Amino acid sequence: MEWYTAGILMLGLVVGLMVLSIPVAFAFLIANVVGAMVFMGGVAGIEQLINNGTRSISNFLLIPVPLFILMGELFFHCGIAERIFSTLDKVFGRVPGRLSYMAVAGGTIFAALSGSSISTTAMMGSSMVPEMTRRGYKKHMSMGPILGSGSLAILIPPSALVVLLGSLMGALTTIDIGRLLIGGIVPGLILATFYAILIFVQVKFDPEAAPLYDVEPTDFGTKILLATVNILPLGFVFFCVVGLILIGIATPSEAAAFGVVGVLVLAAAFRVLNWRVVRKSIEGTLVVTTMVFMILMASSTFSQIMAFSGASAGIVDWVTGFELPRLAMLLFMFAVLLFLGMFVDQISQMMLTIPIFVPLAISLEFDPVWFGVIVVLALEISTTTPPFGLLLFVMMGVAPPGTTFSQVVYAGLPYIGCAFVLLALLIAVPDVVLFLPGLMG
Amino acid sequence: MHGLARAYDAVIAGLAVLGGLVLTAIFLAIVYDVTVRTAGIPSPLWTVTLAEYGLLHSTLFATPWVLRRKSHVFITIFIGRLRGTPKLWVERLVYVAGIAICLLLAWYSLTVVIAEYIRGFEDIRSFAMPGWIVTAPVPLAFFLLATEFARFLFGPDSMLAVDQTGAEGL
Repeated sequence: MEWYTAGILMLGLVVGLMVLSIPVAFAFLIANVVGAMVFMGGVAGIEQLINNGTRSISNFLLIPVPLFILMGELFFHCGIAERIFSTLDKVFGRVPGRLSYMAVAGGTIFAALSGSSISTTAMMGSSMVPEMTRRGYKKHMSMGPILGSGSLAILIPPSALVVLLGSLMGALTTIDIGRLLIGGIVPGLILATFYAILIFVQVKFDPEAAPLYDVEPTDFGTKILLATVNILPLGFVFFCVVGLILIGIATPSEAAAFGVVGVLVLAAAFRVLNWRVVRKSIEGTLVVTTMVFMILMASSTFSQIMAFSGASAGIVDWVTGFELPRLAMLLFMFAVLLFLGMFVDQISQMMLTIPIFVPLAISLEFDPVWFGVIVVLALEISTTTPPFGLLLFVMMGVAPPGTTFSQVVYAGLPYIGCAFVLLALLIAVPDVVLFLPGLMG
Repeated sequence: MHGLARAYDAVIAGLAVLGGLVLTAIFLAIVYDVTVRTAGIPSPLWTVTLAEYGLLHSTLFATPWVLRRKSHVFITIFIGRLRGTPKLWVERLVYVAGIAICLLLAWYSLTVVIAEYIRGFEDIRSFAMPGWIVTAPVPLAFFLLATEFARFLFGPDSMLAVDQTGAEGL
């Protein structure tokens, strides 16, 4: 069978099944069975598929996935997030657009403690948007910063999605997941800074978009005390994850375990740790991990069948045959990810594209860590792109009654613009990504 | 019949609890591994290998329960626009496809487990583990997934009746 027939059959089948709303993992499984029958010798191929699938998730590289998710679940269930917010509320004082800045600051701190953009957006949306509305903030000043900073959780470690991406890329090229995680820190912080600049500009041009209001004055000493007690200890947890990887004394798996210990210690110190928090956190972790690993189990064989049938190599040869400039190829891959992101979830985006994009990136001699961070940025943007960006729905769910979907979409657009500016920066100055990983031993 | 249904529900919930316990054990094993190594004591080789198997087994134990919770991610781009009978038929098609693929994989994975048991196949990592122990939960998981899809097909509940704002994700 020609490579293009094989490619159309496999990709068409899995996408068609997904569109029919067959759960993603099962869509991949059906496509795999068809692929195994056609390309791998019938029943023997199905047995091979079962063996491959089970091996793909019994892999040490994936251990950070449930642990990072557990970290985030503990963080959100034990109420540390609320404590951060009340502290930020005191620290920020009387600044124009203070609640919007608070959303960005809170989102960045949450991103450094949890990898879940959904939980971050839901938590900030439900707690902040009603207050912002009451204070007369316009929709783009209330929902926009939350959508933008909610998506930061993917880029700034700990991020289970980045671990997953690293393990997928690792099957095709040499990549250190620790470096990939660390590579997201500086771009994430730059993006948060862009968000703050955007808010400043928006308030400057339209002060009524975020009306000033009086806040109870807090003296400087109290601010320092509150920040020291409630925010500084979070640095300890961040160090448990990022610091230990950066210094090189822990693998991502070990750092993830220490991250969980860090959150447990912190919750115990704040006296918010109890059996209900632990049980809810483990339950949430189990749901997300199982959902993700079922997709991974099914789709790892999918990429093997794509390779075995010659489709992956054929697509790579075909695309590189156009001899487009490297930048054009990168933007093309970015555009494909964004397009897919309008319709499918981030994991499916990765599973469908990585088997093809990574060989392409290798042929174009892109640095794998740099390329990985670019992919993560595309995944991040696609959480807020209509019509199916998941964070848009999360925001709709927690927004005040009467909020329309288009208002949510428009609120997020300037923040998508910031992400594109970051993309340009990462292309122009790759060291923005590579500097920190370069410090690792 | 009621008793049988309750027993079945208990199996699904019990396996999910087992999955949660396995995940917790993975966390404790990694912390133990790093702690003893940091203390200068050689860490046991089995922790990493058991954690690897744990990832597989916790997933397989919990997956029928996750399907029951409607938490296996799916895309509503097409079905979200359908109403009435066409929607019902597409939904039924999804369940039938789910039952078919899960029963097929349950059957072939059972043959893999039996073949590994008869041949005495060992999965060799930091220690040798009988292969059939590693793969034994696979047919069970897929059989239970098929029954969960059948619950949606023949029961009053719909897999699609889920609030997207509550969707779990990364």
